[in-house]
Amino acid sequence: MQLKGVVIDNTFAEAFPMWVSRLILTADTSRLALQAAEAASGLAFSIIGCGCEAGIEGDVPASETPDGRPGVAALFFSYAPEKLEEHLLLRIGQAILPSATSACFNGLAAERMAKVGGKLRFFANGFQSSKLIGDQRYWRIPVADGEFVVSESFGIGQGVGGGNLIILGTERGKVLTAAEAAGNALRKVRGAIAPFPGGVCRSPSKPGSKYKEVRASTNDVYAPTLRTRVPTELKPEEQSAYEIVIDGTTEQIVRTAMKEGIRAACLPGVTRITAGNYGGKWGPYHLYLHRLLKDGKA
Amino acid sequence: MRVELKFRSGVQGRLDVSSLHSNLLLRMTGKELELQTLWMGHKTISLAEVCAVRKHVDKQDELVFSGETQGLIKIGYALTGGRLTIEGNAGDELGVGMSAGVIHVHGNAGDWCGANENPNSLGIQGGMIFVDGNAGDQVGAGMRRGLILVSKNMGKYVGARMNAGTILCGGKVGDHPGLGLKRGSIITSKANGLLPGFFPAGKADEEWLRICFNEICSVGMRIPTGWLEKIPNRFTGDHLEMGKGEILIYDPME
Repeated sequence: MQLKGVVIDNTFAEAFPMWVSRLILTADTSRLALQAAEAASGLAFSIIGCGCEAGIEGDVPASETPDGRPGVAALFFSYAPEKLEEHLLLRIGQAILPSATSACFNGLAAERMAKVGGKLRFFANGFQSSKLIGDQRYWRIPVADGEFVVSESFGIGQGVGGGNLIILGTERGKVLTAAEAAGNALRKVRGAIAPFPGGVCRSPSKPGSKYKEVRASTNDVYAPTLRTRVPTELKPEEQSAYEIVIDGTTEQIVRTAMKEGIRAACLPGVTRITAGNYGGKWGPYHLYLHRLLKDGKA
Repeated sequence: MRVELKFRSGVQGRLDVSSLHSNLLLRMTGKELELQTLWMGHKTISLAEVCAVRKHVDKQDELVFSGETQGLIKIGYALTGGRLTIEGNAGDELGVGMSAGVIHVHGNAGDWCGANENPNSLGIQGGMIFVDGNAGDQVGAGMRRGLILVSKNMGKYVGARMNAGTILCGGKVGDHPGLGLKRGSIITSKANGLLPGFFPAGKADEEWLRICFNEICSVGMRIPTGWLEKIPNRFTGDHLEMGKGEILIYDPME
């Protein structure tokens, strides 16, 4: 199959279940809210090394935030609910709480709840106070610019991680432009994130390594400098490849984001778009590229 | 279903309507409703003797008190959910013992609105009470959780011995608000003065107030005029108790 002259491989992305939380961060200005969200979702690119994948889902207008201030929604993914709770506690406590004028609210209604604000309150050293408003409890933690208001608990629901696209082409600059365009396009899909910087990953990995203590290693089949040493996946004219990793709150959202990413990435200099999988043995979600483009279903 | 109890005028004495639980009344037949008993002093009378009962099957669940409601005490007693409307004035002890639900009084409320039944018990433990007019003394005394919004003035001892929760007064609170306040918030447009156990603590932090206002708007009620444009002054206390409570005042004290 070809789209705007770009070959779309007849293959699939292999995705797997992950646990997800959604945070609504607010502040006096949208700039401050975004700053807090970027700090909280920093160094959360790959589940392998970071233990958590995170990204900014989008702006939330003041009319839709609990405290009526400008907000930003951020999604956090991990492989176990306990691990996700650990990251929420760390990231809200160390990145959002210190951010000027910030407040942090639960943005996901789920059966499973992680007590985060209920633990962070101890930072107030006995001066914390709570408010039960409606059926939600909020903690008020005194800080130097007023109070940090945080939801007592955050919902942890089932999401999907590991959706991916690999964009290949003849020149690094052109492939990067296409990859960034894909990253920008898929981030417009509500409920999806591309956790890597700018949405783009230059170091696709494969599980395992020749070194026992290393859990993942470079996916050598896409490294142009190794094309003479390994059975390469690169065509002779392909000099560069970038991966886009996609996590979403549902399988359908990941599918939609992948489709938008492919469409945006079909630019001059791109020869082919493919996807990474492990033969279908690892993840239960097999997202076929051709089917995505034909009818939106994998 | 909407059940409307229209109380007749000319009923002498105060009627204790604490037996009129909305969750039970909404499921009763017309006959059962009429036979429901009430206390008047040490005598019991049937509901049919003092009011006309009307049921509207096609409407949302709501219990409505209308007619001569001024002498009714303990309206909404131990309310556990749903919506209760008083199309007139409510007597004393409105919402005592409630833990959830919404009470809306279109007129005034008497003393002990949302308060505790006796000094050893807790005040309301949840839910919201809205009074469009004035309320009497001891509003929210001993309150544990929930929200009370009185659009006009309140009497003396607002939030006395309050444990937590939020009381909002769109007008002026009477003398000695927050006497023995342990935790919780009293928010008012005006106050005559505060007890010596309260100290000024700068301006209030707005974030939780906005959450609170959003919740009030979500049930179709209005925020008192001018509150959204100003930041109230904050006083903490009662420092003779735990000192973890606060009184927020919008206008300078007289």
